[in-house]
Amino acid sequence: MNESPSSANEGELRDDNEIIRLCQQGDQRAFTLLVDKYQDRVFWVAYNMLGNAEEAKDVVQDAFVRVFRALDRFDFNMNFYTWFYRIVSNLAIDQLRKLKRKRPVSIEELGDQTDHLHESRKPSAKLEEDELKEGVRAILDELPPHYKIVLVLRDLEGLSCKEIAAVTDTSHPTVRWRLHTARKLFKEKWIRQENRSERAKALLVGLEQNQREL
Amino acid sequence: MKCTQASKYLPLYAGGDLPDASKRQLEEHLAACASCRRGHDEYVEALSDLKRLRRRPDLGPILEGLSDVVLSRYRQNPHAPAAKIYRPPFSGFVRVAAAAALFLVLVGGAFFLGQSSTSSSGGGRPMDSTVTDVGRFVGSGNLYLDERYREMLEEWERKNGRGENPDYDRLRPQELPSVQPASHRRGF
Repeated sequence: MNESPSSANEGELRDDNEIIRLCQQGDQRAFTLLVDKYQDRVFWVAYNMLGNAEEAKDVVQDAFVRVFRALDRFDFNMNFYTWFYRIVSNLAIDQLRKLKRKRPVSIEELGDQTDHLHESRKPSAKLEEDELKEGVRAILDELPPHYKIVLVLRDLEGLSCKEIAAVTDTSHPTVRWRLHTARKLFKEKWIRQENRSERAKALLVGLEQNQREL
Repeated sequence: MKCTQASKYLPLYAGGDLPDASKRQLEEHLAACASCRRGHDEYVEALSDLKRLRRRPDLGPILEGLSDVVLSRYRQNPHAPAAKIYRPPFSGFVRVAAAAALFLVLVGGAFFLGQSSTSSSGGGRPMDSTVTDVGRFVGSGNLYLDERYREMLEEWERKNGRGENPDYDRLRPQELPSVQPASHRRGF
């Protein structure tokens, strides 16, 4: 791929099809623009599916390489982003099936690159928030992949059911049914976890009282 | 609306995905039912906890230089798999061919049904006791009757020999000769 003099900058190009046409002509900067536009969004889809930042990063790279290879044959009747989300979702689901419960690597563990974001918070508040997020992620990880992807795309990425149907290559009623089941499963597991943590809190309070009495 | 129906609507309602008509019905029910309101509150709390995962740190440093990595991976391995281009399952020529095939099947089916109904209700049609006629006669679409007619024909032929040409349209179930159940008599 060459850098052509007519290559575009972000201000000029907002339309995906326009960027893709430039990519097809061999414009390297257009491809960089495409990567910059989508990398964050698809990273979070992969991360929420896999719960592991390194794995998510690999999936995103793989997805971009595959897209790069297929751009010459891109069908302009399709939406680029639904196609791309579909590639990332499928790769993440495949990876999820391959993985045998590796230890999750959180975003924060990637070289503590995001610590500055939490500096203003009190350590205990951050800890509590992190624990809560870990708990939620653990529940999410227990869901079967085809329910998990619907929940991630709808409730975390904010895609509409129609868009999710295009991404997952299913019908609109199927998406609604999966969303219904996924939320129900999530809520049941969430209640179980809440009950467990309430029991643990009660146990701690009891222990503290016993210690005071002694 | 009953509680069983309301409980089916709650997961979609909690995320704002219920159509307006069902939403109104559910809201009326929730106003009157404390138990379903509790269920709804649980969904809302669970989903708000899930949405905590939306609060995201800036990824800048983590994905920095991604386009360079992708380009170098592309150059290093030019034969790596490409993404599949998904197309709608019925597009262009395939759609036209599928429509034509469906039309032919429907027309053929209608023609066949028309023929079989005239052959089975042709008043007083003389019965020619040949295998061809049996084949035509048994195409009524009713498997039980087809089997009974076959058995009747065999019974008749055993008793009277071929060529008597019984008029099957006059036969009624009570007049049917006693025959063994079909399960004991395979292959004629």
